[in-house]
Amino acid sequence: MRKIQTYLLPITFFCIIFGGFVVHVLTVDRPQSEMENRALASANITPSPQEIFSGDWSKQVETYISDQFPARDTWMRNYVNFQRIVGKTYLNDKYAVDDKSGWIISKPAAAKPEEELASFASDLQHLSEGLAEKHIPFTFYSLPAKATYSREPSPGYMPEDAGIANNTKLHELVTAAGVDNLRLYNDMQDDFSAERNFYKTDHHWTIRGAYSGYEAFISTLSERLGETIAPIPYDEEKTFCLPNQFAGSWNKILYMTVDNDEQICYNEPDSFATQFTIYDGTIEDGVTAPYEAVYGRAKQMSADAVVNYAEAYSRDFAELTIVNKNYDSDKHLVVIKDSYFNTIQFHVASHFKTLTILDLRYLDKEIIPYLQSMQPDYVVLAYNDRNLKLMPE
Amino acid sequence: MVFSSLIFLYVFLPLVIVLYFISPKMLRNTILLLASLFFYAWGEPKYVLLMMLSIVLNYVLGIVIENTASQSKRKTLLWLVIVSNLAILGYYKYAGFFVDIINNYLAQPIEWQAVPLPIGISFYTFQALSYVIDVYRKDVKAQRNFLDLSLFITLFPQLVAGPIVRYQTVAEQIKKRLATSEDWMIGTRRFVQGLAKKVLIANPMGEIADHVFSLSGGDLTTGTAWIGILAYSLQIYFDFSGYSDMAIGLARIFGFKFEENFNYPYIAQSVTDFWRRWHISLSSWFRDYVYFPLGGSRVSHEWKLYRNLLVVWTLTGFWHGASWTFMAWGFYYGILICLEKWVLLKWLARIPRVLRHMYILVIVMIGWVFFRANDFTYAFAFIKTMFGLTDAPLYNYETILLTKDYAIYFVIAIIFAMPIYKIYHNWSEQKASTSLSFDWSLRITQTIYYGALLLFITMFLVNATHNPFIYFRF
Repeated sequence: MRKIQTYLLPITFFCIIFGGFVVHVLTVDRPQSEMENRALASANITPSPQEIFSGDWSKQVETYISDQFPARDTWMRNYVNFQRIVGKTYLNDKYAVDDKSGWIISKPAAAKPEEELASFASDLQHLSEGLAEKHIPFTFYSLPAKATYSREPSPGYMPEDAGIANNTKLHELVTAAGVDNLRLYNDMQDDFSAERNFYKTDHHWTIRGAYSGYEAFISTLSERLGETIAPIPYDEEKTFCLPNQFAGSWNKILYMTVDNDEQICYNEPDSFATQFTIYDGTIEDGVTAPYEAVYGRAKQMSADAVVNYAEAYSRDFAELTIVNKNYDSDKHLVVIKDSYFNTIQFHVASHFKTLTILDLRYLDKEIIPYLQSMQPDYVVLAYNDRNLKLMPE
Repeated sequence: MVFSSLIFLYVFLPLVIVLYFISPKMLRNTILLLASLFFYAWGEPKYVLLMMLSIVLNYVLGIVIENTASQSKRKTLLWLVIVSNLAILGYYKYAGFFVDIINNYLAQPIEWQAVPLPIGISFYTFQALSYVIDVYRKDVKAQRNFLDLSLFITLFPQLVAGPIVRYQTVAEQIKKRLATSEDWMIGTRRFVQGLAKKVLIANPMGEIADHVFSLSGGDLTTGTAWIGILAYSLQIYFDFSGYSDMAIGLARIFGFKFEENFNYPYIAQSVTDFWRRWHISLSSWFRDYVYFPLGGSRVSHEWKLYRNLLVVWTLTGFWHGASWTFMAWGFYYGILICLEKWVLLKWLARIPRVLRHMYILVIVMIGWVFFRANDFTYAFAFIKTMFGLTDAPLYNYETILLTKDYAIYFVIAIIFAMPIYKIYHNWSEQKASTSLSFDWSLRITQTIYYGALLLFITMFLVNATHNPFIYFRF
């Protein structure tokens, strides 16, 4: 005689797997993963015979099933929590979390092979020489990255992060290649502290850290330009912060499992809202954008919205041209940048007649001829010191 | 398609189960065959044709051999089928290896474009060979129904990584089988156990092994080397036995009863014992189709016994892959088994049980170094580091980090590599058979446990990127 209790397990098993299938079919696909900061795979329902027979289509379907699996973010978040419960040192093999302070610390980087650093130095040399042909001066700036200068608390048995050594070596190679360069950290050291300068849960600097960077940037650049340009003094009274919860980039990789009370803060003169004409692209393209649509979009968001760094300050534009009517210098400055510069782009722009900002990740142009044709007065490449390639990661 | 993937678990399997059980019985084999072909074609559509060629060849020649009266003709036909099967296997798996050897002696090297290895070819070729040899030996009747023979060779639970199922085992079940609720329960339980072995233990162990075996000599310490080889030893066991559990469990859900493929090999007390417990279907295949025909242990001179053992074990190593390291790995076991037969087993019987365990664990781990390493240079350097014969330090931060982060996985893996759960399982099932109330509480507990385990595994699978089975490449 069949025992009814023997049905319990197979029926439960079937309900889970068939239920998962049905929910998957009924769930609307998501185009983007906010946590993973990437586009999710969509269904390819009309594969070509070649895609089918090569096995490419089956791979696409597997990626699609994985990307669009019901409650994917919840599963991923629970996996991070599981790693924390079992005491994994580096969650998702990337970040350590100090539960007491809420700091997220990256796994120590290894020393980069000299060839890799030399390759970047060589790219910078080509860039500098290409600009020199048109008598355009150039300086390479490395900006202090959180991963390099925020190392505590870190397990005592782990080796030191090689970020500083990599950065030092790179500057040596760049100097040897005859390219003007500057390690911004050296000019920020007086009041440098990781706690003040960096977010606990994001890989960027805070407004305070960015402001120190801006001050050092303007001071050192004014020396190179031979002009007296003084940075706008930091005014504590001008600082205001949003009530919104902050979605730090490293916390997003950990599926927002790290509690934090971090805030998005700003420190800028009121005149910024009106003194610039901003072009999304070149002036000739003629596509203008209001200041509030470019910088600090989070200010317009509702207080309960979770805000990330790009929404807080600025997203990455392929090319942004800022024309300033209240300038100190009538120079046209071009900055090739990564996301660290976004926080201070208008602070820097406030000193020059024209500032062009280029992001090579999105700019689909040959950079040297393009810069030569632009004929700016000065070109700066400003990357955070973890970026060791001309094409930032 | 991989069992431990979301697409298998949440798309393929539920759809096949529904289609199978709502179909009339006469169509169920066809459903399973179509599902199996789809399963195989999913990753490598073009190789379905190769597999079908193998099936047609063995189907036709099986019938021809059965219908041939003359013994010499039967033998010729048998050799024809063996050579044909091995030629297909040899072309895809071994041709590159032999061309490389020949090229070492030629002034004008032979040009050879490497061909990708069709997944599971070693398994289904051996399965097909066993069928034809059994027909030749008149142990079984040739299968006249082409669909049924195709199903025997392609049945998706065991198609790509075994166990190597004998035709005798499933011939009757292909014709007629009954899947009861108890079969579904046992099959489900076994499948989830296998999935857990693969996803929760083998994959994390694989992360360690991959990391350690990718370290350059300068970064490898003695401690890290031992962690790496321990991790690999556990990975390969849980990976392969997990696959076998899933295969046996899935087959049981559809009413097939397969033979066991593993029996806690790491509790063995000799190499001979180890190979009675590891990949049992392969060992018994070589025993029945190579060792016995060579004369086995019934030989006129003792040296022939050792010759037979060395031939069988070198071939076993070679079956795993076309490289000298695999062959050396097989030969290594051949030598050890010869030594055990000659004198070692008698000595081992006199030493404490714990030392016998240590002996086999060290022997097996050294063997796995050859199995895992790409070449002898790396394998010997790794073994030297394990035994402190290099300048490598005893440990470094990697050793501490791996120990700290994976201690819980090691503990769980070691516990489940021993038959502790099996003892509990046998006790509970025995008690359930005599007490209805205990039976109910056991089934409810199992349902909750395995349901939760499945969800826990899903959490790992959603996070997994790629987790192929080690034995897929054989």
